Amino acid sequence: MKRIILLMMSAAFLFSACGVSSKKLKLTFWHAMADPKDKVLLGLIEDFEKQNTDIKINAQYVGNYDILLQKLMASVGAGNPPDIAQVYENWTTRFKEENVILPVSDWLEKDKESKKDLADIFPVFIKNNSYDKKMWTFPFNKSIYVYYYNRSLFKKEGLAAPKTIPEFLSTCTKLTKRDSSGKTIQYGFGFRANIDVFAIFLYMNKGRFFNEPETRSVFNDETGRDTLQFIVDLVNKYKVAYYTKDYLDNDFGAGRMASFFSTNPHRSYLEPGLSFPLGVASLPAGKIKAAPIAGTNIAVFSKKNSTKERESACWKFIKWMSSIENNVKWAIGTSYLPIRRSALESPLMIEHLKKKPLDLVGIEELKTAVTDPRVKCWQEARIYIGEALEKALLGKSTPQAALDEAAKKIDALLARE
Amino acid sequence: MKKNENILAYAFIFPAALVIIVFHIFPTLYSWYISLFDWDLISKTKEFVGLANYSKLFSDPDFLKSLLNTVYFAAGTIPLSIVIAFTVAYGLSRKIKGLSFFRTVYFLPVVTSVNAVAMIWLWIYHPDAGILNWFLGLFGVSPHKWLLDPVLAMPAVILMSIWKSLGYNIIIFLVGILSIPGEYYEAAQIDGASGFQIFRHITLPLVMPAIFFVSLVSLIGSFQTFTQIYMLTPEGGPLKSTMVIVYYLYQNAFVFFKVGYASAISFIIFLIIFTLTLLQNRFWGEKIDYEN
Amino acid sequence: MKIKRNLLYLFLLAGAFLMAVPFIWMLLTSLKAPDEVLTIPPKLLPSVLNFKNYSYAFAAAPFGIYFLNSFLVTAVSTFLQVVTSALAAYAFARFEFRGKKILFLLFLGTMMIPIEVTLVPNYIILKNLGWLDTYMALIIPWAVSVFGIFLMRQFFISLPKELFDQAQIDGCTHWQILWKIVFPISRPVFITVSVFSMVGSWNSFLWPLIMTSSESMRTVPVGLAYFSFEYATRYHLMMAAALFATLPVIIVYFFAQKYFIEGIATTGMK
Repeated sequence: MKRIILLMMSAAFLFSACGVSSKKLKLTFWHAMADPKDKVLLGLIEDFEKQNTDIKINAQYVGNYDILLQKLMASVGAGNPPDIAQVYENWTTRFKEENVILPVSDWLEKDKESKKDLADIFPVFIKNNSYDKKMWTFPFNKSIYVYYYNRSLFKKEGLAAPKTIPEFLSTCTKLTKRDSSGKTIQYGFGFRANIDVFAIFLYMNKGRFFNEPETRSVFNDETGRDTLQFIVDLVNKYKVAYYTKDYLDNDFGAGRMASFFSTNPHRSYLEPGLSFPLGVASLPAGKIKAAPIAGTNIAVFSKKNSTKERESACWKFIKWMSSIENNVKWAIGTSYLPIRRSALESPLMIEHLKKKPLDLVGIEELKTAVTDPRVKCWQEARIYIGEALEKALLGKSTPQAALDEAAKKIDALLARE
Repeated sequence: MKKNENILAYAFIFPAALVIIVFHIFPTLYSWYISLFDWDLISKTKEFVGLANYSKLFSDPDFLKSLLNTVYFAAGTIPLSIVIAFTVAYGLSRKIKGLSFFRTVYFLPVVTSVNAVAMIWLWIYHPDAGILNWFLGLFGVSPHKWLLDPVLAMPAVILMSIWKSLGYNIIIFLVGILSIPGEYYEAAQIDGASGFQIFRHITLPLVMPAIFFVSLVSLIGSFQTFTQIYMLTPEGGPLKSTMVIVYYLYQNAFVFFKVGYASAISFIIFLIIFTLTLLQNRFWGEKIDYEN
Repeated sequence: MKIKRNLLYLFLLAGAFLMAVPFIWMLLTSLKAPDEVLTIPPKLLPSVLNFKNYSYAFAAAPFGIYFLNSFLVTAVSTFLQVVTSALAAYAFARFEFRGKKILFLLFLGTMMIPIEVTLVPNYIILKNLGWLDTYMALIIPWAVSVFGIFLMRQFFISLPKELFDQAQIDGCTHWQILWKIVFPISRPVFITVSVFSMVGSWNSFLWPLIMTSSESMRTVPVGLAYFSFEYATRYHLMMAAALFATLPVIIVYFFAQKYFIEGIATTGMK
């Protein structure tokens, strides 16, 4: 027994000792890219290391985004953050306030080529990564909400993807089927009972969550109320939609719902498991056409004994990842949005879009992209608004009262920011 | 000699004490200290707020709800689990064949990780594709949305928790029942006692200490319940119907990053468990002495 | 009488079946194709046995390293828990010393603290010790089991006093008494404590998740999180992984259970 333990210990020691080379600059990169997306990322990192033999990128999958934030907060608090990590915009608000991340504009200003690169990046990403005229983080795995539908069910009814909200409602109605006992066996639409579905409808109704400087809630105004009322009606009045707290893939795959909203990279996971042809279309238009952006950006963390070499190596990596060639590889491998315009002209990308034309829908939608709030309390606000949605759906509260209650809680948080 | 024994005792306790002090007691005290501050984990300055976090707690409807939910959880889990476990243990004590098979199967949920088995229960409770609704449907019961329903979510979590910890309780009871000397039963039979009378007057009283132990451990466990809530009902269930106190602590500390506030909750949890332990000790302690 | 006995078997078997249903589904799902996992009505048997789910699940994350880590961490922390618990329990059971009562209560009190409370302070402590993302972080903070101390103390108290007196007259030190005399006759208790330690250590999730980051330090339960991400849970793979993650504990329990019941019986917890 003793010998076995000793053996195991030495084996484990060997494992941890492997791959450590003293000469190389080691960068730790915390990400939330699970299998199989992590394989694309690791492949790119391998290429980077081949071209930059003095740098070693230690990519670590730390868990999903919730866990990533927890670990980032804990590690920043304890004074040993990673060198780079994926971050959402509202996390950046926290981090920049405490000066625990370094603004990427520090390098952008010094770097001559970067002007050209910057002009090539979709403006919505630049804007969303900028705070007080400074660009703090760099767009990384960006996605956008699109409309997914079951093409064979649509075909059976002679329907096309709805372009407007009235069309959306009539489509849902036609695709909702009941059996002889009156039990619904197929719904026109399905959603997860959280803030996301509310956000999508709110934006297309020209609504916003907060006022312009993001100091006060406005999602409980008339637009917000009508939006929530519409979602409640879909479920309770028209009875054409279904909601769950779980993931939607299985329900969609089993034909329990004919359509749902999700982000564009979902396509690459969804499609292979389906027994029917998948349809992807842009979101139906409300008062305006609007599609929310999702996904994270890369931040460089400040460290106690940081060196110029470390910081410029971080930048080098970010810049390398966003080069046309690598951005194309990333976008093709994961179905995330390319972040720069010229990526669309690359022959590889054109080839890919020919093979996977569904990936084009999200790219087209970039023209009408909207972004989520960046307030520090967004994590908390999301939960309160999700609760309001749930209350209204369960009939425990009117949409107006539910939203007012959430707004009151959130305004109290905003007052402290 | 006496002095020598003192030193020796300390030496024996030292390794355990070192770890407990450094990694359990000190962090606990530190978290109580933090409960006097407003802190988000990363800001360099912690703002001293005195007892403000505590006074806020008692006017926080979510906190009060989480307390009530915890009591609901404990009341739903403990008595039922004790009755079922006791019944099964009583059955297992009747000199039956295949005892080790039964012991293994009933104990299986205890040794498996909550994270893994919670995934299975998500499927059991699935409104359309789940086996529970399918099974109930065989008897003409219309399907329920279990974990999505604010009324049914907590019973669903309770059911899973009973399943998970049943085996542990069975073993404790089985041991209690098996260790009752056979002469007691023989004497009772000679006196012409019925099966139920024997159970009522011999088995039950003599297993009381085990019931005490199980209820105490379960009570402490109830006030520490977290993982199954987190796995089965993310965000604390529909309309916070399954938000127990440790979940609320977790949410404040690791989702909202209100570390001071979360620490205040942790102190309250400790106070509650501590008081319950004392109370239960007093109430049951006397009873057990009397029975013995 | 015969009927009664058969009813008893029926009752116990039905109960056992209910207890086992989730595991049976775990096994069946781990062999299904992805589109068979959630169907209406539920489909119980896979149409084809997809054994490749296991190889895919095993390859999705570096489970080889995770298993090695889990074995190592579980073995070492179980060993340490048993040793430290036995020593402390011996002191609490056999010695009279100042602060005995207070210390024992203090130890028991730590059982009342949920791990979520101490996570942040412990993170900072481990950082200052330079132990984050090392085996030390996974092992040392869990090198003691208060429950183990409690169980062993109960048992040691129940041993006849003459045993110890005789041993001391024969010139044994307390260290020798513990390991040469008490240990051999306390096997069931030691096994019981070991099983509880092992199960706790093997299934630990939140702690390794927060305290480690690198692939080479992570354990099996953390690896299970690989199958659940922002779009879906891949049930078939997750169940395959959960099954091979659970198997070692089940095997150990199966062999230890005989002693197990004895172990609890002898601690006077009856």
